Amino acid sequence: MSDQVSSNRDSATFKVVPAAATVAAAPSKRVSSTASKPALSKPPTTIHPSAIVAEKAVLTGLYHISIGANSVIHPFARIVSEAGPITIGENVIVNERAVVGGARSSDGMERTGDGNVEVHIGNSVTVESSAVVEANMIGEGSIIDIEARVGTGARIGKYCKLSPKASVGANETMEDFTTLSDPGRRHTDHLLKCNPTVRALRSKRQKDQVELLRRLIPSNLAKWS
Amino acid sequence: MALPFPYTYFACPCTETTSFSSTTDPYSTEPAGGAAEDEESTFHSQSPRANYALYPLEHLLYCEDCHQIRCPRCWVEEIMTWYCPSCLFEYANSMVKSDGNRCTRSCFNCPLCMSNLSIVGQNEETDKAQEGSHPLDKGQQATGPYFLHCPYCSWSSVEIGIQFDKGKEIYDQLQRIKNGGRVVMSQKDKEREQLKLRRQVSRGSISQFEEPETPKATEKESYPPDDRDLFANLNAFYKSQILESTGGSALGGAFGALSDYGISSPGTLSRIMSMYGSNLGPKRGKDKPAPMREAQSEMEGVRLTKDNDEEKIVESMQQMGWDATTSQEQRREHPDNMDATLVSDLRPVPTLLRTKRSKRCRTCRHILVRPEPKVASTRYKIRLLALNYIPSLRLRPLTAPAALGTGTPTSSVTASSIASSVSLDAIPPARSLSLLLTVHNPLFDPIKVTLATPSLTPPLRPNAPASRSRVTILCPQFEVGASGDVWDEALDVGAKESREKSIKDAAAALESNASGQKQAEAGKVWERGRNWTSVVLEVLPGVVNSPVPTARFAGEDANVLEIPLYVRIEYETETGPGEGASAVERAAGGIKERKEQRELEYWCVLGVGRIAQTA
Repeated sequence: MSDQVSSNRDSATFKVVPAAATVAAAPSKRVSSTASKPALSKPPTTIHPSAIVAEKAVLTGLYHISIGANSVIHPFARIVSEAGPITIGENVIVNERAVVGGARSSDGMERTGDGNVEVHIGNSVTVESSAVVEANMIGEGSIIDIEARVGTGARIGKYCKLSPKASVGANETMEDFTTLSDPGRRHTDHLLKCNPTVRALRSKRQKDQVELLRRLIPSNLAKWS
Repeated sequence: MALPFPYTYFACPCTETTSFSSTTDPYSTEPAGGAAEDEESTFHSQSPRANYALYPLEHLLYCEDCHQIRCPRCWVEEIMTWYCPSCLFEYANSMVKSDGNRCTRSCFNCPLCMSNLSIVGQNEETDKAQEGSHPLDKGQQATGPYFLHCPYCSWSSVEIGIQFDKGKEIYDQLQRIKNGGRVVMSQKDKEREQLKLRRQVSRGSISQFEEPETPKATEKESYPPDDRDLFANLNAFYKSQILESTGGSALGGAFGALSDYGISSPGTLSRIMSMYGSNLGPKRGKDKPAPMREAQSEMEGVRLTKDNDEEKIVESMQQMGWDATTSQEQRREHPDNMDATLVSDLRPVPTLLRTKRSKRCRTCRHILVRPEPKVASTRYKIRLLALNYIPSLRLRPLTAPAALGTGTPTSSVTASSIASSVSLDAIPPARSLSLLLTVHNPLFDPIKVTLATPSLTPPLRPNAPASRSRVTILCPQFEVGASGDVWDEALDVGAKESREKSIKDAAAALESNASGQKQAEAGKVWERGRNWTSVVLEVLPGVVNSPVPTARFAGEDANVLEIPLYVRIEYETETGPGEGASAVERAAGGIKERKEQRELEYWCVLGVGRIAQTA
């Protein structure tokens, strides 16, 4: 899959880019009050009724965005489907200033909207604030910590953890239960790997967290339907 | 030089005791001898030695007794308290001496990433799950086996097979558990074991030398002993050797009475002497004891390398890959981890203790800095910063004094300085540059300042006289007003006249401003405030050629324009009855408040910027 993605990106430079995509690709990455200017296109969405999408959250792009049950999109979080459809699972928390998808890939190149750069985020994933997730796949229960970056086409396994400021390059893979700390050291989390009870606890904690956020963040699904 | 331009460094006078001789100074262009005497009297800002003498003002202290600046070289640090930065527990000095400089309670750092480990009870959360309580309910008691967990890299002590029964005193518990969960024998058990083994050996008498080949099949032998065990064994072995050899010599000799004096006894000394040279010590003939033998087995403290040890390590490294091996930093973190090749050999690192230190003047032993001994407090009882005693010097380029005379003096000056954007990273060479030097007085007495500088700065490169910059201080002598409450001046009637004068000055400045630009005049202060005065410096930067890569001293700072500046301050201050008076005077009594003339002189270095290099 990752090979396919990269080849598509290479060939895309010679393609005629759809006009709408060039318009929508313009906004800056920085989230500010100007982020919700009319230039942003409203993407087609499927949002589960129990999901919480804050009023100030930004969902933009051309492709389909689906958000699963009990997922929380914080205010000022950005879900950008410029380059392909985005699927967000259940009990996912995307914190403020985090970017999922993204109009520009991590190498600064503008991504063209040929629709093949998909982003799947598994169940019970937490994307912490200011993290950038352009990954092809993020497995269940993973944590993308503050200011961590996941490059285009990367595949993150289940119950992985990216420590704050850690980064995974484009098309890299991380096996299940791996922790990546900032100097690029990988380490397997044996505690999670060998203890199903701990994993169950983790997912339960995530659910509790969602319940708490449900009280704190007013949801406005009508804006995106 | 780390500070951004322009900067000011102060030279501690303690460097004057070691003079800068022209022979050691690679930047000296003067021929040896001749003008050397004259050269020595000024400060070489480019000398390699100057780096060790110059400090930013914030780093310096001031000794009130010697009336002198004090730098890290001329103060002594004394440790007041030891404490753990993690749990803030205060350790007594004796505890540090006996137990080492690490926290002996429950504070540990992650062996992988060095962040603090948290103690997690394994059954805490399972209880919660069973009860199905509300997520916001807290306060459940953690039970069951505990382990250490790193919140950053998710390392846990479960990985190395270590769990704890109690959630407290983890250090003691960890001492007793080896990696993999093996429980270590306590010291008493170990000694008993040793004694037993030794008895067996002595019963087998001659078999002592075959010991390594026939290891005893005790449960201890199944694991290689760690460094601590080995050291204990070695220690015990040599003690027994000393006892045996001295005891043996005492049997027939005249030194019987000294036998139990051990290694330091004269008998032992003479024996050692006779061992190394037959004609050195007193001849003792037949009762020469058998020389001490070396340790030969693990029981005696020798670690024997087995043939397949290294192969095993290589094999496991091949299997587990790069990420399973330890980095040098990880190994360096704690003596226990020094031999750890694999991550699974690492042990949690007890947190290093920190200290609170007081600082004393080396010359007069007076305390310069004394923090409050309480660990949680960050305040100081005594803190004599040079900042509060030494006038601070600030430098900035002066090019467009357009906004002068409007508003308060300070604000207008800063505004103009921002407006004037001379790039200090590329000063045009050989073009006159005006700089504004502002002297702030922190003292409560008005001071007389005298500035001096060599007319030519030291050359930036050896044998490059063109790189010397010409510096002129337009007003080398001036006064700076006293510091104090801002409102003192307004309320003080005596100051009224000076205030009126300053208003007149401001008006004059306005006039001159209207007629054109304010001109810097020789012998006149540029601007004056309540406790500050600024004067103009004119600099003609030298010409610096782009560096030759092979040049010996052409480092990255080879084009930095630095001006050595000599500052001399005179002021009159009121001294209290005790302060400043000699012991004799104090004993004589009757000394009350009196005026005292004080002076202070030191070298500074003003870092202006980098001179643009010409090809």
